[in-house]
Amino acid sequence: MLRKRYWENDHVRISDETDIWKRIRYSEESNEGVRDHKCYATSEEVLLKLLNRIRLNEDMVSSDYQGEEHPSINILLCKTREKPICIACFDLLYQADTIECLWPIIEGFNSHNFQVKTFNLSVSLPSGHSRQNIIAALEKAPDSDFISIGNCPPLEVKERWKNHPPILEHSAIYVGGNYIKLSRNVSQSPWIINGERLAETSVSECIGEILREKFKCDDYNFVAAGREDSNVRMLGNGRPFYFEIMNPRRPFLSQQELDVAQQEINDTKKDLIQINQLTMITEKDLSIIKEGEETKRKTYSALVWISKIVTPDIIDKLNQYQDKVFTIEQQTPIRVLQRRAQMVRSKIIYSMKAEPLENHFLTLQLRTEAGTYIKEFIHGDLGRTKPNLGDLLDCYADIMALDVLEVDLEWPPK
Amino acid sequence: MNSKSLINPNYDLNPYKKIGEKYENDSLTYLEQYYTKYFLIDSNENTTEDFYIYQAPNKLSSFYFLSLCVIGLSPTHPLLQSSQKVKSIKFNEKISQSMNKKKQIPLEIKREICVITTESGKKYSIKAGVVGWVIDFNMRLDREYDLLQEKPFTEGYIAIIKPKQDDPKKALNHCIDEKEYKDVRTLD
Repeated sequence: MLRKRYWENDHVRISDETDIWKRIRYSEESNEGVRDHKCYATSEEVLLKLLNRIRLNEDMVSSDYQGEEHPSINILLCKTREKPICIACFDLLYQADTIECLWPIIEGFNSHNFQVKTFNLSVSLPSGHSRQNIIAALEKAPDSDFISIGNCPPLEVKERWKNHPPILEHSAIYVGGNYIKLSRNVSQSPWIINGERLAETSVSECIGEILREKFKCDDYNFVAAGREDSNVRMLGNGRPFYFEIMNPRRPFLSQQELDVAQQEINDTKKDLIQINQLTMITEKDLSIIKEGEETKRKTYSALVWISKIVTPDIIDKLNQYQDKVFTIEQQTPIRVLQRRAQMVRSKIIYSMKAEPLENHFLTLQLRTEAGTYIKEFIHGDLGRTKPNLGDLLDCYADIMALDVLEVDLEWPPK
Repeated sequence: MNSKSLINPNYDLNPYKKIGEKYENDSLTYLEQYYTKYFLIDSNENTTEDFYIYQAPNKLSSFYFLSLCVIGLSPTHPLLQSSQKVKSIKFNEKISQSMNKKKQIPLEIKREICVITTESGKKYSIKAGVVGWVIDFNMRLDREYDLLQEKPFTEGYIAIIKPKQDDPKKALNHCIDEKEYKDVRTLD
């Protein structure tokens, strides 16, 4: 459903009423109604005359005009039919728009090899004559005064309107889905520092470039419900995301075409990422994603090394937290301290489950509050996260690998 | 609960076995994953009041990031040698108050950031060690004095400093690496 663009409205027609005013205004016989001047000299001449008068401070009263008028009204009366005088500056600024005035300036620019893009001349009024004051003064003026020096209704427009080719842009559309990240060398968005690419590719590019082809858009914006480090995999059903597609030339893709695009992405990026449930979404749905980042629980799987040998006792000690909730206090991790403020965050671990592997290795599955730093919980971050895994087991612990198993957010919305 | 139905992925331990072996030899080697260790030797030859400076992140990625430095007591520091017990740890108040505020001026290497007093009355001055701004003091040391001597290389760190020098390679030019440190102080 395309809205009518503004230029598609009918061009406003000047009504026949204006003709009546024209007749009264320019009638040389009429004594009533609008006053007019018999002089139809060109603007420049008129202006020069006026300026001379003002400069010499001559008295402008002559027998043709009656009564007490504001001196400036006389200036207004010296109008031509073609070009009514500007009622703000009385065409005084108009003198700048003449060859005599501009030519020396242009010559100056040329001789100094300046490149000038635009040349604006303007005047700002002293504060006593602010826009508000002028509006107030105009409101006090009786209608008859205005009619005598202005045009009511406005004069017929003589110039034909110019038609510039319109710049057409489609409003942004949104497409969402879930992504699974299988590689430990792919960042979420392009990771480039000092011109050097630090991760092989990014989730946003893997999906976005194919979407760019399908929608034929100018650009895209990738937003996900939270993020993971490039060396962390995103498994399970995937992380909810959406793309804002800017100025798509093909804005309407059917679900079938989207399915084809999804298959294409999954086939070409096989070991890197996979996506599911790619579908069009509406602007209203977008806030769900932001909410997801801030409030939703996440489940992780971690490969952990501990300084003790893994025994059934240790596993049991950790498994007591399968249904027992506990809270940890995390100071801002040292690895992000340069960009985030130092503060203490209280985070809830909803559930923890351990499975032994050989020797010093075990796997840990945790379900935590949004915003928990898992790596820091495991290695303790020099004691800045308390309690940490090492505390619970009274030894040192380090994280070898981390995976996100689930982001607890229903997406796309039904 | 839903999470019970989620199965952990299988982990191939092979890539990690080597690291695991290194860790088994020395539990503290895990720090190397995250930090590059440097040491600052006291220029006064009579004392061994040295400090470690951990530069985070570690060498591999430190080319790209502005690094932060963690300062603490090195193994040869007198406080870790004799059985002197720590009585009080006082962080410099002026620095504490201006921490993380815009007007904080960078500290010189020799600037004192902390004073540690032992029960026998001896005072040890802890210097900044890096030209930069103190981002955080280890506030746990305010109450848990034991931490400093029991876990000096991990939880007992003293302060975190953001170096003024942007280039992480140059920021710690005045320090020596672990190997050199062991040579100079003739440790194992």
